[in-house]
Amino acid sequence: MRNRLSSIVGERWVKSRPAALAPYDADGLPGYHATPSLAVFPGTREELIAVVRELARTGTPFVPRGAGTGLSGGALADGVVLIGLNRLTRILDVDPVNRLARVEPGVVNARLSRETVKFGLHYAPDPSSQTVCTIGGNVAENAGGPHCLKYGVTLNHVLECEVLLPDGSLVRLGDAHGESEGYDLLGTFVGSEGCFGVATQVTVRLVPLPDAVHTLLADFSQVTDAARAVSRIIASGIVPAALEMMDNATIRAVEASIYAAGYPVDAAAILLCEVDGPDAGLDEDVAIIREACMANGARAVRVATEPADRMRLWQGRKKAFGAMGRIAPSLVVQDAVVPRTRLPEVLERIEAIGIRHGVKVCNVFHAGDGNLHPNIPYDARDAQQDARVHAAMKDIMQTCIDAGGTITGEHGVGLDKIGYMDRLFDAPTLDAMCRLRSVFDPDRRANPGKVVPVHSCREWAGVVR
Amino acid sequence: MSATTHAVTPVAHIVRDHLESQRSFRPLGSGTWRHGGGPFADATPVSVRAHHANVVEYEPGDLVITVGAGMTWRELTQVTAAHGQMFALAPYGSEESTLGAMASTAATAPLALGDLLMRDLVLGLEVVDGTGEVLRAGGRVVKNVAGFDLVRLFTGAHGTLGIITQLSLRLHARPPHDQLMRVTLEQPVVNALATCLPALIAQRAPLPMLLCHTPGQPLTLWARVSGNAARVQALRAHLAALAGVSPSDVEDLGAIDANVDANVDANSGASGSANDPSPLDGLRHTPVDAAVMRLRTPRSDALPFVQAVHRTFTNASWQYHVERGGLRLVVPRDHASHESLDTQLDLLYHHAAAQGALHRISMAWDQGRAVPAPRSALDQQVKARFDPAGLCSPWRVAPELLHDAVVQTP
Repeated sequence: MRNRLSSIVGERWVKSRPAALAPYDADGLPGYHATPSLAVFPGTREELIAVVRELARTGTPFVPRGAGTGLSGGALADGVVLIGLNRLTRILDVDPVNRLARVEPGVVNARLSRETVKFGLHYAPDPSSQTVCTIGGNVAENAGGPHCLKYGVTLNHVLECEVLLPDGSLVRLGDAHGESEGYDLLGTFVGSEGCFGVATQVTVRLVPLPDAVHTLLADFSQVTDAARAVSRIIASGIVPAALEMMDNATIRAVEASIYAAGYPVDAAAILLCEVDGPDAGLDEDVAIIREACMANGARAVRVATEPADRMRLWQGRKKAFGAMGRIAPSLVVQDAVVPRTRLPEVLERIEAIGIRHGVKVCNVFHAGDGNLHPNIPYDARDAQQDARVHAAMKDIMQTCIDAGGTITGEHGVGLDKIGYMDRLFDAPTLDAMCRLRSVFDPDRRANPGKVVPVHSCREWAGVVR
Repeated sequence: MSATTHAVTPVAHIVRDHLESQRSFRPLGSGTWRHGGGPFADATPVSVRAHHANVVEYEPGDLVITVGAGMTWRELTQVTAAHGQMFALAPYGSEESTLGAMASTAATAPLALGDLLMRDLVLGLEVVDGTGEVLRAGGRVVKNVAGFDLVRLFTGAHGTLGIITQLSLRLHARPPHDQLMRVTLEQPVVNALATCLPALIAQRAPLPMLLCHTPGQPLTLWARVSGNAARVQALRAHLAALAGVSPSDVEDLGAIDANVDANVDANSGASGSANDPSPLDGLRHTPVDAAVMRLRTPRSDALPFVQAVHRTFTNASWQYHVERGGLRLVVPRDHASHESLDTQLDLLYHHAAAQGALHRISMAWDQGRAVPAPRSALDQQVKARFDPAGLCSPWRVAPELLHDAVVQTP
């Protein structure tokens, strides 16, 4: 296989020695390791097509991978071929009139916005890893980010994908110029975590830069007060561009790091709330949000309107995960969603779970969406710690499910959460997901072992009706 | 939709009976879409409204409601209005349309808030698929990427993969102001298009807009203007500038949901008179005796595209959605025989291409007739996986539904 793939991409771009494969034995999820049988890095769309066709010809399973920043183990390749897409970095077209861009899957998220700012446009979905994560990875995971509250997740910004199916055939899903008719196969492809094939080109929607942006920082002496303020803001009819919460443990980690943003270290929680759009009316929105915070126990609300001040506030939020590196060498970043009204209660339960298992839980999350990120810094090399962390995570996930929520809002199921799928969905629904997958990948060769447990699939489990 | 709910729904029993006897079936809501999609095959209607028309769960603080698919848009609006909330779409057609039908057809809407589409607002579904299984996809939270997206698959599938029986929908809090505004462009239509359309395409404010034409009348520009008082004032001025009139020439037609407020007593839940339709009703109206088409083209081709439509379909009314680049064309029945429509479509392509910028028109028919064209192999496989017996809504199945026409610029 190495020779055949080398003949397509060149020997340099096929890795098979253990040392060369070591960088690819993990993604952003600590505690999980899996080594690919080999890794191949096509440099062009044509090479990518030839690689997948060669794998199809030989019936070889594979895992597509972007920057490897995923947090659910979705890009782990356990003894199968890993296809690295990070050489496919061309922005093919920017069409400012139609407000769209066509890109290769390895284009880094933040670069796309940087390169379209000159047209007064940007790519709205902004995961915290946006300085390194790729558009292809974002598509695979249906990535979110702080500004998805107003602007929507990746799916709302992907118009069309050219998709290389696992059998090597090419299909075009969606329509660059509007909602396509018929089954929404683009909608099913985005977020399919590499199990339906590989995006070779992605056409994304660009949105105009807002005329003005105001960012508020509200600090609270009670976490539950901050959570209630979130509901009050959303109920006011204002749709903030972002509405984020950080608890005291996270605030302290950030303020002790090089990403210090000037957050009040004695606050139990802070809310970062951003409103944007036409200049007219923004001050009024800010006043309503300030009032909502103060009425729910905020100690103070300050407003940043200058870009440098706003950037500093956001730097602290976006680098919070990195800042937690000061606390411990490993970090589990969990991702669950609960109804907004259940936030106060769920946050209290999470705190109790942390105490019960003797782990430190830091919360930094998309409060406006109810999208929690309970993070646990720990040392993955310590087996006892590792066991406690996983037990705590299991309890947290169950708490979120019991609260009417879900196990992932933006990071995907991957390997990490596959065990929760049959707690969330009944057997017929899981089987229906398998049936959908079989349309794209009947041999189950693309990203095997992810998202839906095989035992749930009647076809693959040998219980064909 | 938790794994703990395993009840078999009444509709599932009916579907299973049909599967056992190999009889075709189709979902039936309020019956307001009886002319949709062309000729019917022989299929038994399965009434969703009869079995699933209730509110299942509503926690206003979450801005999510779970309802039976047989609930109508009007009924939903009555429930949400009492809490200062709304379902952000008011689709074309009747207010008695069921939410199941709206999801099944991925119903579009005039002046959707924030450019939202039906597919963005359906968070979870309960569906009886073509194998008789009850599936509970998605959930009741606004962000959810757990598993493969069956919600997106079934939304817009036109009932060909199964019957939707329950939906969880995303709601929005009503903004402080949410006004319908209208400007009449007094120039001749062709001149008004040439002047106004490029500016509309280039504008960047959050302003859902429709450019509307009715034969024999001047062009009108409609907009949904939302936000606080200061923003509404500014957007109104912006709208006037786009239309080349003074702000005082912009008609404020009142709250966008004024008809609902006027006709519904939120406390009793009773409907009042429906004989006083609002301007929004006028926008949403779909005449029975007409062929209704949806056409799309790139924004950059808007001017030659809309000009070509206007020149070709002289007796039709149309609405052009500025942000989405979609045009809804309503051709009266006496001008809508298959032969005359074919002739007019050929002319449309010719006129558009002759004006130089049109690369592509794609279209779907809301009602009027079926148009033969192949669907993709993937679509066929999806159908086979979820309705292997081919008994589910057979009249909507390929090849009748879709038509994509590609016109290359000379």
